[in-house]
Amino acid sequence: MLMGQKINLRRIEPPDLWRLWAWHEEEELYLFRQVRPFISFDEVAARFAELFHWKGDFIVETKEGAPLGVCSWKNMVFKNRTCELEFQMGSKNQSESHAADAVLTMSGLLFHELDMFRIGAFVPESSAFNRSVLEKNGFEKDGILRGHLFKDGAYEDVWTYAAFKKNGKREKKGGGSD
Amino acid sequence: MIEGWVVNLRRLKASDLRHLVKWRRDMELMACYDRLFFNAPDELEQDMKRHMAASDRLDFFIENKKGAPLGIAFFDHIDRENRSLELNVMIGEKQGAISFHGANSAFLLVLHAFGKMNMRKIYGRFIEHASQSKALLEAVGFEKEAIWQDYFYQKGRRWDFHVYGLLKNDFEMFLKTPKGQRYLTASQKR
Repeated sequence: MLMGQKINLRRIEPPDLWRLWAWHEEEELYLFRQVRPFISFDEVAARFAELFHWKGDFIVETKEGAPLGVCSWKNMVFKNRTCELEFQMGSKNQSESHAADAVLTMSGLLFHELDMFRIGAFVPESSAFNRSVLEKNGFEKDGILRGHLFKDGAYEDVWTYAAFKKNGKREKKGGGSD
Repeated sequence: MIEGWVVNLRRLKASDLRHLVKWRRDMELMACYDRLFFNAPDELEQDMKRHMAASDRLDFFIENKKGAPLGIAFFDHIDRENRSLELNVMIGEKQGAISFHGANSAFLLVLHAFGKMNMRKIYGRFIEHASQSKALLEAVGFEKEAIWQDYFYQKGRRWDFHVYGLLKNDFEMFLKTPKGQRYLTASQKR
């Protein structure tokens, strides 16, 4: 378990199945867009088994144990020391301070324990909450992928962000690090 | 098979492995793709089989009009829901007009992706020192969308990763320009 100031991040366990399913059913949660719609309990269980065995997914919960959302890392490349971070809070739990603490705690694990140099993140333009949380945690926007996501009958831009291990960015020609 | 003026693109076959082994041993070329060295052709064969079976990937073998091998190209991360894919072109044979063959292959694949596969967005990514990849994407109308700073670690330093994108509407506009018309004419089978 990873302990932040306001939240804890813990491994996904069997009782989390139904909470994950409820979040999955909230269409506006982009994190779950990679998961196809379930049509049977067997499929829910199968997907749960995948989540249960994936070490990069964590449940975000309050200090009292109330589940708030999911925070994950993926696509880790040790040669380049890079990975990606995703987080999604349930629509009724969108407390910016809790989400920011979850991202801070996960970043701490990735930078200090796993020695990552660069953490990337992708956020749809309409997810102002997620963008705000990332920016408050020192993530900088480094591009916009035009029309990258189809959502609610329209194509949407995806903003890309990155955070770097402190003081680790190389100096660019012309002075200063950018 | 996709037939152009100077190159043909056909589906990758198991017998193409020997060419892939040769190109994968070219460290200068592989630095552009950030691929690590492999220990044995068996490893590459496993990769090749996995790629050929993957539903989100489509591999092509590039050859000249006489059937001589030039390189490979592939669509990766084919996303039918968001109608997007990633384009990769690698010319392994260094003799001859590399950039011409590369641009011709890229143009044919873009036409195929938009015209036959009903894609809406194509993107390409390359490490900052791969100047030929940049020229190739810009030649067929791609625009810069993002620079992922310090993404790769190679040769004792960090390198940026550039992301370029092309939307179907923009490509249709490009085809109406004199340059686009020239490409279209030059890419058609003669």
